[in-house]
Amino acid sequence: MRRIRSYCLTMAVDLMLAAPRAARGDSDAGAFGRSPSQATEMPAEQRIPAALSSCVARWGLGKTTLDDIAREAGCSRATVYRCFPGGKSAIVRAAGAREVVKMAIVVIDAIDPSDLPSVRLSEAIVTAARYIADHQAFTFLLNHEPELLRPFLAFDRLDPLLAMAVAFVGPCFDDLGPDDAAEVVEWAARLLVSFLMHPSPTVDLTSMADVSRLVGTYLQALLAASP
Amino acid sequence: MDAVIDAAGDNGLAGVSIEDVARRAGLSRATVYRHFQGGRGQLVTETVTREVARFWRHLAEAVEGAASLEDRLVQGVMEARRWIVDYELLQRLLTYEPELIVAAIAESEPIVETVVEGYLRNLLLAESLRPGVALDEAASYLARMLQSYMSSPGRWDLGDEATVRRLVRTQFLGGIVTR
Repeated sequence: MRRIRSYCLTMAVDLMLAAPRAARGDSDAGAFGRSPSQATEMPAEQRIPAALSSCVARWGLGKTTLDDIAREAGCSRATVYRCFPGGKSAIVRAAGAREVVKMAIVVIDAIDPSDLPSVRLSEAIVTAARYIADHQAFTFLLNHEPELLRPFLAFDRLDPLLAMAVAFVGPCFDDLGPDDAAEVVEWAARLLVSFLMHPSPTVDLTSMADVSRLVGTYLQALLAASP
Repeated sequence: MDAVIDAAGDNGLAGVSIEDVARRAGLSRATVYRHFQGGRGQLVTETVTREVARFWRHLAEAVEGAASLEDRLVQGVMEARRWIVDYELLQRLLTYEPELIVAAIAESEPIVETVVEGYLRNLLLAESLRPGVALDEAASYLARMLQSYMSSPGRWDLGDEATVRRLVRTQFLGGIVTR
């Protein structure tokens, strides 16, 4: 858990230094607006998980081999093994963490600090939901290999992802105090995962109207709108 | 199915075989195949489903004497979390074979969702709901919250009653019922 955390922080710093404002649009193009696996300025430790995401977007996780990843990352298999001695599963964990960080940057960027907390939270959820809907690798997994995705979002595997969401997006809700900020962001992340894995015909998380209503209804005890 | 649990305890889910299960159950392979024509896969899935049903039955019994909806949810969240943490085989499978056990549990999720939502919906019928709250959606929301928290407590210490009460009062019921 601590390794993933320090990896994410390093990655977050690299991504943010390279692009002060995260690029909107093709999420697979990365913050620089070009294929991250070809950005040779990036160290191999980041090119490799980025390469995995590219492969997954095209043919899914099950069929992606270490050779595919090495080729896409523009490095040798030896380098892949050196950077990720845990093999494919280690690369998958790193890629997942990397994607969450990328999404967090986009979400933070979309929040207008002058808005009311309930509006900020709704904006965060809608932005995340839209980002996910546009994310080719994630969409492939959700539609074709949900059994490969589910374990990463279930039981104790979900806890670190919730913690990451709180760490990155929590500061956007500082005005609520650190505890309430963490609570509402964790709630939002839970909602996102729940509706992703168990969609509802009556709720569309990419719709600001639907999300505002959910936030306004169910979180009113925490976000009593103050003038 | 008891034999499946037994076998999984020794060899993990992937190590469960019809032969081994038949031997442990004192039955012939033919008998096992007759009852589980889908083979190994069906055997494992149905055993897991039986355990899931056992969990929810236990939970319903544990909260039966609750004085209020709030108490029922507080006790429910705490007991659900305790059961999950204490179920040694589940924890071992989650550590070593998460894909298999999560997939097996997911099989029964649609039915579980319907039953749990129905249960919560009935409880909400007896409450004074806030204006504009849709009964079905509120029941679905509570089911989602329960499922999410009991499996992944996040930053919450679900062993502490005061903490769980605050969680239930704010995030669960705060927007649904009038105080």
